[in-house]
Amino acid sequence: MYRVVTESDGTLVARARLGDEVAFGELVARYRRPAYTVALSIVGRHEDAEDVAQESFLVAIERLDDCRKPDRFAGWLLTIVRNRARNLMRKRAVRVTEEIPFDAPAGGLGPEREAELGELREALRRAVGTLSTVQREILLLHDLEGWKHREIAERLELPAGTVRSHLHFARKELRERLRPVHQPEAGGRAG
Amino acid sequence: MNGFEDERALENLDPGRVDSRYWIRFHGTVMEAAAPILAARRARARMTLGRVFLSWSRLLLPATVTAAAIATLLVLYDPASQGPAGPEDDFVLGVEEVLWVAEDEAAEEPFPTFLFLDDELDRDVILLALEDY
Repeated sequence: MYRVVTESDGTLVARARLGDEVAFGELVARYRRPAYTVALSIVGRHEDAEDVAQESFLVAIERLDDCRKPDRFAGWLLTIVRNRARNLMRKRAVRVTEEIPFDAPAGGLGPEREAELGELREALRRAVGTLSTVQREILLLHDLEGWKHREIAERLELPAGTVRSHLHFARKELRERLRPVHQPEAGGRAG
Repeated sequence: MNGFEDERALENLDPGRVDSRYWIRFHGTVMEAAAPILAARRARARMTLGRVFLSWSRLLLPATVTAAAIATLLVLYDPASQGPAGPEDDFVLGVEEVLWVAEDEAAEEPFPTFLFLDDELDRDVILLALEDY
C-alpha cells in the first residue's frame, strides 16, 4: 500500500483504467474529502453531498477513458462532482444562486456535545449558505481541505487571482456573519 | 487555515469530525459499488491482450508455414544440394562464356572472316582497296 501512496495521479489513473482496485482505491482516498466538500458547497445538505460525491466516483471510474489529462484527475473529478450537484439542484427546482439550507452532517458525539455545537452549526449553516457557490467551494477547499491557492486554481481551472479574491470575500462575509456567535466566547476578539 | 479566525468552525462541516469512521465507510461504499465496473475493466484489459496475441498469431502462423514450405522446396530442388557435378557438366557453357569464346576467336583473325571466304582473293589487294576507300 505504501508504494501506491507515492504514485502520481496519472499513474494511478492508468492502472485504474485496467481495473486495478488498489489504484482506484487510492484515488478515492485522495479525493473523497474534496469531492464531498465541492458537492456540499453546491447542494448544501450532507446527505445530498454524500450521494453526489459517491456517485461522482462511480461516474469517474466508468468514464475514466475520457480523462484526457490523467495527471489532472482531481480537476476532472471535481468537474463531474460539480455537474452532478448542479443537476441535482436543477431536478429539485432550486436555483443554485439563491440561499440554500446549508446543513452539517448529523452528529455522533452525543446529545451534550451536539447541543454545544448546535448554535455554531446553525450560524455556520446560515453564513456559508449566503456565499456564492464558487465562494463556498473555494473557501471549503482552502480552509477545510487545506488546498493551496495554486492547487485550487489548477483544479478548478480558475485564475489564481480570482481564487484569492473569492477566498478573501468569502472569509470576510463569513467572519462578519459569525462574529455575533463568537464574540461573547472570544472575549472581544477582533473580527 | 491562514488568518481566518473562524476556520475551526468549518470543521463542523467535516463528517469525519463527528464520526471517526465516516470516511472509511465512504471509501468502502464507493469501492463496493465500483467493484463490478473495475472487474469489467479487468476483463476488457485481458480480452484486449488476448486479441493482440491472437491477431499476431493469425498473421505469424500462416507466414511461418509459408516460409517453411518455400524453404523446404528450395532445399529439395536446389542443384547445389544434388552432390558433385558429373563429368559431362564440365563442358556446359553459359551464355557469357560463349560470348567470350567467340570474341577471343575473332581477335585471332586480323580481318573480318567474310573477306577470306574466297581463297582466290589476294589479301594485299584487299588492303590496298580499303586504304583507297
